[in-house]
Amino acid sequence: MRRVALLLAGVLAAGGGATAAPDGDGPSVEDAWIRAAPPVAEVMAGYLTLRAGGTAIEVVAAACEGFGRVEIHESVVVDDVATMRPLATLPLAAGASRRFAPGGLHLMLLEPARIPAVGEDVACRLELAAGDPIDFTAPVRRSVGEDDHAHHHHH
Amino acid sequence: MSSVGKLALYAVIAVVAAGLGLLAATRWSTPPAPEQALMLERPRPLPEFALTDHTGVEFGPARLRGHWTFLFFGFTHCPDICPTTLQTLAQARAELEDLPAAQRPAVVMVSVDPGRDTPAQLAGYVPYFDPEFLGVVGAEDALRALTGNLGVAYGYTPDADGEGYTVDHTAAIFLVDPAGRLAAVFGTPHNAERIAADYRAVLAAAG
Repeated sequence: MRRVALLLAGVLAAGGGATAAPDGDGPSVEDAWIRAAPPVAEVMAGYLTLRAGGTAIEVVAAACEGFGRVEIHESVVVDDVATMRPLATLPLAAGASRRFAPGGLHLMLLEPARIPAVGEDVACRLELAAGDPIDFTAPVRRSVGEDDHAHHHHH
Repeated sequence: MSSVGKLALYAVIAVVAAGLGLLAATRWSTPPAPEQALMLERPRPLPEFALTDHTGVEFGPARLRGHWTFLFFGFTHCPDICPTTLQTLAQARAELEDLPAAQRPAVVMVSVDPGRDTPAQLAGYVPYFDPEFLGVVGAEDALRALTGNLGVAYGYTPDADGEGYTVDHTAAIFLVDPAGRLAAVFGTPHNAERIAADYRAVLAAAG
């Protein structure tokens, strides 16, 4: 984690970023990944589990290295018709967690400088209404649990 | 026990035995029904339509004959549902690798975003998920011939900033049989193992 934090400090150069820390009482991001997309893609999606920790949080903005814009979107499938709606902010109560997963909540990554390939790590940040932002890295994968054996959880 | 009581008991035993026999027959002699996919009692022919595939070749009903085909409707400016579905279908096809080539399904993504998805854009996008996948698009009226018949809905919603738009669309997957008829509809949510298992069930039912 320290290596990630150092990397991010250089990449994002915004200072004061809290590392994604699964333990401890602060907010954290776990199991982040970005769905691999072909080079002609104009958008990508990022998935993760967000935990509020000991106090309530409100995510007000998101950013990922190499993308002009990152928005929080939710896919909603009603009667087999898929729609997508942006969320202005994402509030989360103390102790709560939200899973960003395919077919539901996701980070929509827009305006790519280029499309990162499978295996690349993308540095991302969630800005909160109060407190330090949450910095994390998201590996690019074909699907959850694939192409990243280091983080493969099989039981 | 009275004779009436005995009669009732025998009747119950007979009914239970018949039930067990029926259960056994269903278990062992008929193929399992699809878990999620909805099979049409009578496969329904598709209408005439003239679209273009990602190599620039015309794509009409004739291209759906001689093999099974999964049809999916989507667009490439889609971050979540479409790439997820294409990846799921790629996994489902990998699950079906053991089938003879003639029984393996083709996969076609029909773009419902002709304003942005040219054949060239589809060529760069769809085969990324599986080299054998085909992207197909056409003019609005040509598209309507197919989507209208299948009951596929789609519409355009402008982004908040007014610069772009997103496409709402039916996310079900349609299975077309080798005679070019609609045979089954796979509803959401999609799961690769279940799609593969249900596909086998549809194949078995079709004989």
